[in-house]
Amino acid sequence: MEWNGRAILHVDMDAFFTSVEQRDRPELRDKPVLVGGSGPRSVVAAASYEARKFGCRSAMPMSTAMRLCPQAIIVSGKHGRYSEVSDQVFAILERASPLVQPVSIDEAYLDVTGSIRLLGDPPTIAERLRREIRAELGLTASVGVAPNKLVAKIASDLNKPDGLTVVPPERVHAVLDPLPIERIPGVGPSAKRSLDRLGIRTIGDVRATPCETLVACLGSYGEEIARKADGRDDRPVRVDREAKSIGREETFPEDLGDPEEVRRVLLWHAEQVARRLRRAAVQASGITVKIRYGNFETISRSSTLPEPTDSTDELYRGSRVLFDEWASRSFRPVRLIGLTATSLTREMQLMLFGSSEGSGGSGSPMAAAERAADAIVQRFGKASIRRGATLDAPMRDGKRAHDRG
Amino acid sequence: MKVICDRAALQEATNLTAGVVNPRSPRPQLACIRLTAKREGAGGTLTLAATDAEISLRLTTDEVEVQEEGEALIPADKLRQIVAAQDTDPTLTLETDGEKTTIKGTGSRFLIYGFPPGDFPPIPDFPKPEAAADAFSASSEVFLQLIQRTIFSTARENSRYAINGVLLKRHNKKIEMVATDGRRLALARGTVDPGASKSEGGQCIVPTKALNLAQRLLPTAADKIRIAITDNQIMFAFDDPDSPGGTVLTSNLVEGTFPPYEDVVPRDQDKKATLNVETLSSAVKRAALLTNEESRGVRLAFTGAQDKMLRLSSRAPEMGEAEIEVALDGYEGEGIEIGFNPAFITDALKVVTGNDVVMELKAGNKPGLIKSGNDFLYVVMPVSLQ
Repeated sequence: MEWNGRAILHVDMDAFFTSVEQRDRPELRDKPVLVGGSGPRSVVAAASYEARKFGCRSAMPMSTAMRLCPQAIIVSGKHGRYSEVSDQVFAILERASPLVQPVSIDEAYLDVTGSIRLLGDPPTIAERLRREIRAELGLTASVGVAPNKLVAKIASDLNKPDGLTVVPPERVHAVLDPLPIERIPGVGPSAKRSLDRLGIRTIGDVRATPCETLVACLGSYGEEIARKADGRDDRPVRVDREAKSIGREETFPEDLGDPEEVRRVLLWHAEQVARRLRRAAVQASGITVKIRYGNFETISRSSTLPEPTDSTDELYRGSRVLFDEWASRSFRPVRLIGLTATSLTREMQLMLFGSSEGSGGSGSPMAAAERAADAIVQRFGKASIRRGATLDAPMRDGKRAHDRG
Repeated sequence: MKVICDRAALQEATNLTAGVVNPRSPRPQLACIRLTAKREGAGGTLTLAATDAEISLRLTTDEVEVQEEGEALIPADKLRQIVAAQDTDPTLTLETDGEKTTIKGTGSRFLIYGFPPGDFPPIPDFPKPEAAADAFSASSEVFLQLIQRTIFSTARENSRYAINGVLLKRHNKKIEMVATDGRRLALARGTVDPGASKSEGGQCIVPTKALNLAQRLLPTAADKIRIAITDNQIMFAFDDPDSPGGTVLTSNLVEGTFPPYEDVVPRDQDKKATLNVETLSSAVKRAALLTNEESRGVRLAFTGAQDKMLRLSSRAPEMGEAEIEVALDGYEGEGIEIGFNPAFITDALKVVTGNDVVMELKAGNKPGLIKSGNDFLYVVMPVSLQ
């Protein structure tokens, strides 16, 4: 296929957590499976396609899901296992392009424009990735191929599960126009209601409406919707190296009531974030800890680090100070905890003592240990080596152990 | 105890001693200042003592009239606040009744509940020279300069390279103090008077907090201070040996070894720039205006012996760029480009005396060396710029 301009892939693993469970445990295959806790206030972290037929959805209270589908099997998720498989998925994706932007544990954008001469046209590359993921990991992925991230994201959802949707540049309008407006990422119930009053139901309807009308109805958001309906999006695929911040967060199936448990998750986050900093050869001068309660109220606390760093210990120490400050005064059970490294710099302050090639204290034994651990993770996956304190961290893992770019 | 104190003198003394106290001490007695009044002739002295278990300070003022000798143990923060707040009074009267102390000013009366003075740990006296491993004296001016020229290079507490102290090394009349945070290192030299000391000298690491206090005490100290070092403590006496009581600062030493600093002082720098301190400082400060968290480095480009120009530049993403040119007074060697954290340069320029400094360089990824005479050396590691 002749392809002009950028070629972007959006790869979305199908029902990732439940698929991993069903693959690892044959007795769960073809059965409705829900990942999540079984306590009174737990929510569904993920639902298999069999369970979705009954109306079960992720983020739904587990009690509701069990009413809809009483025969569903509840599995408490295994964070380490999902991370490990996720690493294997990303290792396959990186064969197609160095430009891979992780969106979450089971979702990524790829810019394959530069790979076309070597690997074939974009649909061929996408099909090959899907084949390799199925053959090597026994999992299915849905892929959207398009000239930009927005259209690729919409496309990957059109033939889910196990689907490939190709939207060449000249077919963008033909594919988008008949779709209902809620297919546009970011169009929620309230925007949908406002547009509905104007008689706008499809993306094509939006395009047929003058931009001024949309702005009058939705304010500046109207312009954004007009642009999205037109299938325009020039955001680049950003690898960590170019990111403004690197972070990850995790939603728990049940609120964590023990601060010590939350600290262990924080250490696990620090380890992952620090590894991504080192891989991208950047250091962070700031950190933000995000905390969400069961009622979705969310707070965040930020601080500046004494010196830019890419070390797990430094990130953990800094985030722990923020967390403890909050916890000592007003601890409440935590639904989500996130850690983001900010103010990234590629400037490296060289150190006086230790190795001369720089990277904050790269001569220290701890830094050497971290580099060795990085190499092991690179080869054998995230679960192969980790800090002892995170071994029994409460990773029942929500749908979103997001790696945020 | 009943004492009439000059309020200003008392305020200075309370501020200094309260600086030692750890307000979160688990023992409330340690969050106190111990007052001791002694009558001598017509006047008398009031001695204030405080400790945080690591560091203790005892200082004496004679700007008091002692009507009744005695002791008191009073919470440091309250004493300091009251003395500071009564700022229109020329004098304050302190009178104790058991564990209670009354502070009287014009129209005010404060009654503070204290503790039995016997609960306070003993504050060590300045030792006799023969009791110390090392003892010597130094000019207050010299010693103050040694502290000022090094203490700024210590690492912030809790950071990775915090040694929490400054190295003090004496060999006969020569003294060296060295501080580092792992990225820069300041070394100051001076001379001292070993007196009758039997020892040739030695070295120890003095806590940053103790030197901060010494720095505050030195401007009002006698011309010469005395220093004694034992196995695990250092003591400073700030008054003439024959003055009564006297101000004594005692501190535990920092355990551990100082990094091998002599190895990181470069010796084969082949590019040498002579720079006016004011000119360089102002140029670096201007270039630093366009730096931020993501891009803190300032680039210094020396054009070489022919042009004798120094071009400083900085660039902060989404903010802007700066370029500053200054003429070099002297330059030897080939041109070079190197990046530095601007604060590291200006910090050092603040403590040099004299009009010029010499900056010696080797390569963009090798340490820079700043010298001012023979008494001050500063090694600073570059940042690798993108």
